[in-house]
Amino acid sequence: MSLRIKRAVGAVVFLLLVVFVIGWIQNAVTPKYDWPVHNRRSYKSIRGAFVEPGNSLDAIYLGTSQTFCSISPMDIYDASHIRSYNLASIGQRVPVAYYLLKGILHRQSPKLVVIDASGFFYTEEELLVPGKWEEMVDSLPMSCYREKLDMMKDIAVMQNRQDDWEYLISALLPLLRYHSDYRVEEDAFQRLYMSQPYQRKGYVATYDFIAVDPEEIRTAEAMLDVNDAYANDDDNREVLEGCIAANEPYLEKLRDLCREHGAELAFMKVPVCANTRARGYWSANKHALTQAMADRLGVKFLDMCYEDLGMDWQFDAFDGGIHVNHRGARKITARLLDWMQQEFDLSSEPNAKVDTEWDHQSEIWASEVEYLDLELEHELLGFLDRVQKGDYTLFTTVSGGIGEYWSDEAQQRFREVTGSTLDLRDAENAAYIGVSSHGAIIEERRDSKACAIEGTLADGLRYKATSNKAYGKRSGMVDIWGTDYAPDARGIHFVVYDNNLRCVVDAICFDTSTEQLKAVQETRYQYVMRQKLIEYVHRRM
Amino acid sequence: MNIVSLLYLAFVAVVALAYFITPRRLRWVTLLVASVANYLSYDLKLAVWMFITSVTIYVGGLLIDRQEQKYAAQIKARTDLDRSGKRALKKQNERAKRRWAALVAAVNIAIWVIFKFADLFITTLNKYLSGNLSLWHLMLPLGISFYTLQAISYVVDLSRGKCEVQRNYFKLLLWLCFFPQMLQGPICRYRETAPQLYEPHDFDYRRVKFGMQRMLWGYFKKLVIADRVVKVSEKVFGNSGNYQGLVFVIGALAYTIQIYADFSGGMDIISGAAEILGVNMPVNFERPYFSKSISEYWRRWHITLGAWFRDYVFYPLSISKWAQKLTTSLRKRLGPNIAKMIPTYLAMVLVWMLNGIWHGAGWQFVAFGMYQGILIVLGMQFEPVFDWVIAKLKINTSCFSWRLWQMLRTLALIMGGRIIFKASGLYEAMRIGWSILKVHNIWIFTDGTLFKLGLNAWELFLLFVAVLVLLTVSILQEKGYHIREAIERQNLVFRWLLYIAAIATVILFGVYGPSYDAAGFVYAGF
Amino acid sequence: MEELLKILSGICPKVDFVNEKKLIDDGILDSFDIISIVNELNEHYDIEIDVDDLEPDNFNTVEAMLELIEKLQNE
Repeated sequence: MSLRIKRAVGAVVFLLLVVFVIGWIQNAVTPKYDWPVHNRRSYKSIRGAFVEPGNSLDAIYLGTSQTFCSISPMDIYDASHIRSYNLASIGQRVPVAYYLLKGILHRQSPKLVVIDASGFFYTEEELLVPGKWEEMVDSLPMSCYREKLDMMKDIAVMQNRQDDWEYLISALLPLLRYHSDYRVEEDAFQRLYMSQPYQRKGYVATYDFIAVDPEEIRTAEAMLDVNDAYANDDDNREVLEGCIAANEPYLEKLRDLCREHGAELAFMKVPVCANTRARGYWSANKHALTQAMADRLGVKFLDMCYEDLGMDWQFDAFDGGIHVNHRGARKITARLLDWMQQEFDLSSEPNAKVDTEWDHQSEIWASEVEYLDLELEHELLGFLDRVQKGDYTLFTTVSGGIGEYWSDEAQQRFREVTGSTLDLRDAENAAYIGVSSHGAIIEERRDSKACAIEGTLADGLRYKATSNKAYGKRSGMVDIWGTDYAPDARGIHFVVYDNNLRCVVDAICFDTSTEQLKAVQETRYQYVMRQKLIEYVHRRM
Repeated sequence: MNIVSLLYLAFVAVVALAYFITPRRLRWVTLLVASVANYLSYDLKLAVWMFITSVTIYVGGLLIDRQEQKYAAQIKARTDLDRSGKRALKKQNERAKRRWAALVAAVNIAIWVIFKFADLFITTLNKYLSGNLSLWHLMLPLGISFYTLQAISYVVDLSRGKCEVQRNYFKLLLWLCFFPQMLQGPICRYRETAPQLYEPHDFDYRRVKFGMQRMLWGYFKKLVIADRVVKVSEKVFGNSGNYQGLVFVIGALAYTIQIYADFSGGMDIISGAAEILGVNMPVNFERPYFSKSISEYWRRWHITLGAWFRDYVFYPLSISKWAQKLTTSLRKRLGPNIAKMIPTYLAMVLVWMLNGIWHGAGWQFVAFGMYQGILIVLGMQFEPVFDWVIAKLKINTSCFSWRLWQMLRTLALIMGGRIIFKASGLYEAMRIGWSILKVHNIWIFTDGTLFKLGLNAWELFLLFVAVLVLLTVSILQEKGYHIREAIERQNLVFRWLLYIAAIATVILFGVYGPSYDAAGFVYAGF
Repeated sequence: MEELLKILSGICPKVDFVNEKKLIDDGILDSFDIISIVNELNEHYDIEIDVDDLEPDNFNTVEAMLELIEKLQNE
């Protein structure tokens, strides 16, 4: 081989190597976050839609975070075998929704596209928050390169930087934007690849119940009332008209795009109870404007804000009524399914292969839901029921005395679930600690003042726990591997350790000095648990 | 296009490809087309001025050449002349040639002065004569400070008989606007660079490889070091009212690192690109921060600019008739030794003033130049005193520690100059200097102030490592190692690993690319 | 030659003019030294060293300087 050929081959091989390394770096630094674990971006959810088998989806949902917290496609599938996907993303602007839909329509031919009206009221200024676009540009797979470029071009024009050549090309080479992100995002190098179908189908299940203050709950009637106390400055009809007018061309494009692909477009509004002081509130003005838009475009509109879905805002929302948690989502999803079945024909040819895949994912989803239900349980007896069913180790500690509302029934169930031999009823002014698993007590202690235990479980789990009859800061602790998981409130604390996931999966305190046994959640366990759950799901996929 | 952009890389690649596939005879035309296209891509209208300059030196060159030929013919025809007659004729010829050169230089300097100083002049006028003239807000033609100097050097060299006239306008144009260097130098001499541009170069694997390596090294300096440390210097000098004492020392150090990495990195990119095309650019930086005195520093920093001022301002001024007359008239009053020095010192101070003005329109740049000039003059004047002290204290001056002390001392003086250069004004520079002397806030290293100067701990660490790499390479170069040749001798696996690591470092740790909206990045409720 | 060396050592006593062969290229003489030397030579030999002659080649060695002086004297 002559030197020239050798060098030429060498140069080509080297170049390929460089391209490979750059590609790897790009993959590593591009964010792949999943909301709410990382509290940002919806990359995984969006990408998941593009790994679904071709032409297998019957319906697509678009919208904002309110939408992806509210509609669970897997629950719809379980109830009806309708296969759908939730393509909503954080603060999704209508034009962004348009491009996402355009991208997914390369692979899928849904019969129905439902877009949530929560994103219709961004002001023109808010429409061009670049981050909201860039996230979705990067979430689209490379096969949608045209949509990526078009989105980048649009947002560049809006920012008046269409000459910024590198910005435009960063649609396809996100490395240009993200190469220095490694120091912002702690685990940017984790989970480099994602190719498996996403069993939640774009739905984001949330598992907190940060209860809405009953005073703040806005009923449907209140929301319909134009003179509603909350419907103040923000809820200005003229401003809102301007907002929806700015979105109208995009909504028209969206409708036409659906028509071209033989799909029907529909509007919906998932329920909220947020007031105007929070973002994402709903009002009679917004309803009327959306209805007018729906009429003008000739699409159907389901406004679930004014329907009685049996929402219990005290426990169905996780952040004061802007977003619902999984318990709320179930109710909303059921209502949407009901409406879809009534108004649209979504029947499709059965596809055994795809159905098998979905059934498998449904099973995984079901096991995930068990955890969600445990976390969302806010009633003492219900909680004890759920603990009894799973493979858990339960830590119990009492802080500030057991309290007068610890009933006979509670005592009875507690004994059955934990195997405790001690009676807590006369321990009103005493300390108590218990460790149990599968209905058998491992260790328990009672003391008239304070007590503490320390030990190691069979699987090597090291724990410490304290209890004190006097209530004070950290008077009841459950320390596992150096982290105190107890909610640190007055009453009886439970910390649930999952023997399979090998992590804490719930931590709750029931205030037995109040009649309603008010539940307080401690969320410190959640980050680790979400990671473990993701690993668990990936193992089973 | 910016030399730190993907577009520039693509441009260099395309030009190189086009260059090597054009027929040898026309290769210089490829360079010309690329260079003109590159220049026009910035600003079509302002580009006119560069073309005007190129025409002036072309015509000026032809006129000088005509004069030279006239003289040659005269000498041939007048065989009757004796030595002094020939001498007179030669003098006459020289004067004529220099007149042409001076005319061309004057035209170009006038253009440059108008563009650069119109606003400063009007502002000053308004201030002192309470006038109300509006500012012109002229946009500077890109690279004007560099190509004007290059243009002048051509006609002056021609008049001095140091280079051949160029009769092909387009070839001259190519030399004036050769794309890799026309925006930030180095300032080339016609005699050295032009022939390389016209001569066809064949594809040389090794040279192209070396060129790319040099570009990569330049990108490392520019993107990883300069564009990172710039955050510190901008923060400190941009909000100098908020800081005091040692923070300014850190700021000055940051700016000292930044400006070197930025400028010399740019030179590496430019020289690398030119090297790929077979053109060797003159050396512009020779590890200036290892200098042991200010005058040595200026021989190693922006070498081509210093050389330009030396050859076209300092030399002619200090050995001019005017200087000789001044010496003679001072001799009686001040004695022969000092009388000889005075004109030279004056010339030097003038050169440094011009050097300062060249850097920017403003009094602080004049002060910056004067600072350098005065330091050099003082250094020379007090050399005997220093020697005496060294001898008295029996200091060993042939060891490393003494050289290190000299380097650090020089670096400190340079940093002083940087403060004058970078501060928002002359007064502010003085305030900063005073604060450094007065406030000794050593605690900024422990109370977290350090991490609030634009870079967090991790970024500072990264910067530290990068500067360490730069320092190591510089020391090796200083010791005479040829890094690229040394790498060439290594095994393939090691070489490739090194290249890929270097590329990955620049890609991952470089500061570049369109930044995305930080506000949109944070989850904002919904 | 001896005469020239004497003049040069008078201006720059620290420089080894006999053995250094790259006085300019190695930066041993700076532009300031050059000017001093030129002034001294002009005066001593009654010649006129012009800017054109301020080339490194003319000042790198003592021999080169001598050559330059002789050339100018013969002009």
